[in-house]
Amino acid sequence: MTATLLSVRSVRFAWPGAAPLALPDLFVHPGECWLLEGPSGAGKSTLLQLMSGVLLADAGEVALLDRPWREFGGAARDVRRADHIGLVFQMFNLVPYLSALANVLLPCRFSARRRARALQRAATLDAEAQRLLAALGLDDAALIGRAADRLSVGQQQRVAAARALIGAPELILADEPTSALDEDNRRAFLDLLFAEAQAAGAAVVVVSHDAALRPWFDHRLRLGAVA
Amino acid sequence: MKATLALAWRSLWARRFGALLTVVCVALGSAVLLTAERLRADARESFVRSISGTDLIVGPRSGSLELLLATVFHTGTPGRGMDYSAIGRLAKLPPVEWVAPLAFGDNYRGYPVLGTTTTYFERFRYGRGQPLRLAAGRFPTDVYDATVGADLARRYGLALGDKLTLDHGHALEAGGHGHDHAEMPFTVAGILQPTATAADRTVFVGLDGIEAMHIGWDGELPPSPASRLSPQEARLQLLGPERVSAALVGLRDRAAVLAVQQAVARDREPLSAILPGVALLELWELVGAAERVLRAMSWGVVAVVLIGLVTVLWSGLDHRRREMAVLRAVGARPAQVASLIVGEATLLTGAGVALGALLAAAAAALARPWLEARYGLVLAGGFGPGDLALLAALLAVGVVAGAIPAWRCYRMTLADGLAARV
Repeated sequence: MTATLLSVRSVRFAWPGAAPLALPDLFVHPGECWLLEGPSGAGKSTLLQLMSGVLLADAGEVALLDRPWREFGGAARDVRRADHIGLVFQMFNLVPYLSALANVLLPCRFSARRRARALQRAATLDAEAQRLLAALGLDDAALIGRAADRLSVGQQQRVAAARALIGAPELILADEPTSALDEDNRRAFLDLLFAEAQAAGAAVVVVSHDAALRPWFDHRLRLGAVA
Repeated sequence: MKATLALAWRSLWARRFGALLTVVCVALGSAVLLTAERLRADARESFVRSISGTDLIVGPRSGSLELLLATVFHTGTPGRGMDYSAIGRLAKLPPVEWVAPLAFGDNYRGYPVLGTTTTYFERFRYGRGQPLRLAAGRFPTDVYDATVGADLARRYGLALGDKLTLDHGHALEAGGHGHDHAEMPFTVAGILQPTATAADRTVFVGLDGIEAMHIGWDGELPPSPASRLSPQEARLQLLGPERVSAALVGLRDRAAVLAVQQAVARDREPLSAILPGVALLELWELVGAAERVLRAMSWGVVAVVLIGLVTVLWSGLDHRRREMAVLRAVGARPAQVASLIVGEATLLTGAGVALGALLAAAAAALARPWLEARYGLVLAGGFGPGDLALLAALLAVGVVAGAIPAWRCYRMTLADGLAARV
């Protein structure tokens, strides 16, 4: 296991036509839980895309498992992201025409490593997906066979969490994962996400402007507003 | 590709009504193309096989097209014709198996009258070696017997025993004098089955019938009313034909065709012999413009269908940006996301082409008995390698058309990244 899972060093990034963002350094170690806070426009989502290798920094370095994203070509970055990172968005996380179960299994379609690791934990991919869904409180067979667009928002977010966790990626990145949830659902969702991430040994980085999430995190980083 | 094809299937299933409509459009387009191609091929085939089993057509030395039009399509006449003695000389050539003399120059309501011998009815073949078959009655045996083609019988309601009055000349419009042979009516002795050839619109009589009508004629000039004969008087004056228009020749050995051609060219009369298959193909090239128009139109239909397919996939992309971003987030590369669109195009086109092939086959099966009974047009059965190649070409074109929206999808996916901006 490497000492540092994810490192962000002296990174600058500019969207076309916008003022450049200077982003704070960040070092995430295995099993850590980070909350990235900041107002809109502070570059939270940009940082998330830099960390997942979708964007490349203009200056500085973002490295996953000690390998800077810059070393890899586009296709290799896609493979690396699928292998090591589980992603959860604010909402609309699911492919609408697939069942909840099929949505959870998607990363195993695109990443051989995730598929292999999922099969280390259970006899079949379906069994592992069902285990994760059950751990997140979705154990109704009718529910998980239902098309994703017929689930409630809370259920959808839990399916998205199960999908991020399947195949035990080292890093879970989440962008405002609870903003579409009410207070009770938010609490339940975060409890389940952290319990499962901890059980899998994954680090979690959550981007949010919601100060109410602070109690769940041991590490926080505040991004400043652009001047 | 396997992963994306499975996803494409699920995605289409989720939109099955719209997808079904697209499949039906593709199916109709392919069915039109397949049917048009088959009709085109069959029309060409049927044209080229307007005559078969005849190795040479012999006639007065003139253009081969003129000779072909007269002897196969029964339009026009090959020059001045030839002396009947030439038929005897032809029959004596060693490779020659049979000779069927043909005499043109009269019409029934503008339709050609063909005088010939029993050899013609025994030996003439069209299509895939089909002989002329009788729907009723017999081939001409008596001097005043006439056997009529299926179209003529239907159009004029001719039945066995009906009297026909023939006119001199090729057609009423072109110099028919109006019942020039009115005093010598012919009797319908037989009615042919449809053949989809010129035989359907021809009145067949014996050579002696032609001779009887023209006793006392001086070239194109009819005899004076006083010297006209009655049918019974003409019967007694028959001496055998003097001139015929042309002759069909069958050989024992096809390899001798060039030798016979040369022998004909050396005859004391100025004659020439043509190969019907070659001449027909030359003529088809000449009149084949309709064939090319048909082909262009059916590909036009396919183009319209494909534009519809591309439009459906293209306009669907805007609604699916979020879906694409999600796929990207779970590890699909932009190329894989784009291949989802190509996969959908492949499935839609594949299903459409398969359904279209079934439609075309069903239409052909339904139309076959009717076409054969009504027009004597025999459709080729089953799918040939040409049809399969056409189906493969359609599928390929569909996949390539899918690449247009897929390219847009690729660009969108690359630009959107994980941010599902909608």
